Amino acid sequence: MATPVSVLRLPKGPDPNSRGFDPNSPRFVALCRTSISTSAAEADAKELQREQRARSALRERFLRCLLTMTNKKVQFHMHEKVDVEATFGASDIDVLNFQVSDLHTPIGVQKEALIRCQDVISFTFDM
Amino acid sequence: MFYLNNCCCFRQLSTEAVYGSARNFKGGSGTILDLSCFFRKETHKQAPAFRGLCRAQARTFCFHLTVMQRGWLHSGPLLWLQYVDKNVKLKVGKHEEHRGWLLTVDPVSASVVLVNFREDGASVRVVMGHAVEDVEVLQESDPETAERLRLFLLPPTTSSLDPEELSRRRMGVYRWLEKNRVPVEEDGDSLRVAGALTILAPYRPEDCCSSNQIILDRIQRLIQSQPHLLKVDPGFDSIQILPGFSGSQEL
Repeated sequence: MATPVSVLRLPKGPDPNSRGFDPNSPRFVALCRTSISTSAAEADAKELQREQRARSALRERFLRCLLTMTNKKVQFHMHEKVDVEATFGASDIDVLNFQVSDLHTPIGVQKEALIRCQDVISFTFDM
Repeated sequence: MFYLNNCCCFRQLSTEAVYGSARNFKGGSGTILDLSCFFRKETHKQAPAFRGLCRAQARTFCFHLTVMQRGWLHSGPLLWLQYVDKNVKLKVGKHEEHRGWLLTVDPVSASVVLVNFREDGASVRVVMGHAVEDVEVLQESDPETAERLRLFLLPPTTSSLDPEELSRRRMGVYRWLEKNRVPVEEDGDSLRVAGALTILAPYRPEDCCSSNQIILDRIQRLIQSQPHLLKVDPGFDSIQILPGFSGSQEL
């Protein structure tokens, strides 16, 4: 006799217009909303512009950092003192997941993997 | 607690005094006092002039206190920018501590990128925003390190091309886009496409700038498929049609 199995709903992926994740998806609401809001909500337009400029300058540097990291050996330091090494591939736009290859876990090597950023404390690489 | 209950007393205090008290308050009870909210709530009842004064004071407080008050995640890009290029000590979790030159803070995830220079390169540590507990400035930025950090991630520049070669390349891309019915116009040394994309010298696919991802992707792919670009690389000229492909006569 078949037992009913509850359906596991995966978060909605990026919309076809490639504008990133749906702002109404549970994943976005849970993890991203605070990161997008401005601190200058009630401030004047000039303040907002200054903030946007700062945001873009910081983000560009960060994206360039991610770019230099691709195909490099990266050491991830996770909770409970777990250290794993992997070859960095990519990150999603809201930095929730990293795609890595050859993830050296304590029980073996995983060829391809997604690492949830919430589980990572920090990661290091050499240039 | 004292200040929250006694507004009049609060009004008398100087900036430093309240700053100090708020600190003590935080250290003593472990609660975070949100001064800016407090100001907003109380100043509705006050005269406009006093309200203005309060706002100005609140802003200076915010500057010093927000990282402590709001936590690193909610400090905002303007505050994060204050730490860029400085040598900082990062408190991570309960026991960990990391030092290094702060390269950037990702405005989306609040992750901090620290760089430590060595003789043979550099080691980079990215600390995820959610793990950052506290940030302390150890050393202010100096022009030399700031420049070093700025150049750290920039792609290698190709300024070796002479103006003649550049204009030849510009015209090549211009004609190729025009041939593909893409509205393009020259704007000094750069090319503008449909008012939404700029191609800077030396006009490679990676030299395109646009805030529209779709246009950027299309134009980049178009430039990539530009036929005469292949001539730039002498290696391509020597490619011959493989004998197997000309074997249709054999049929």
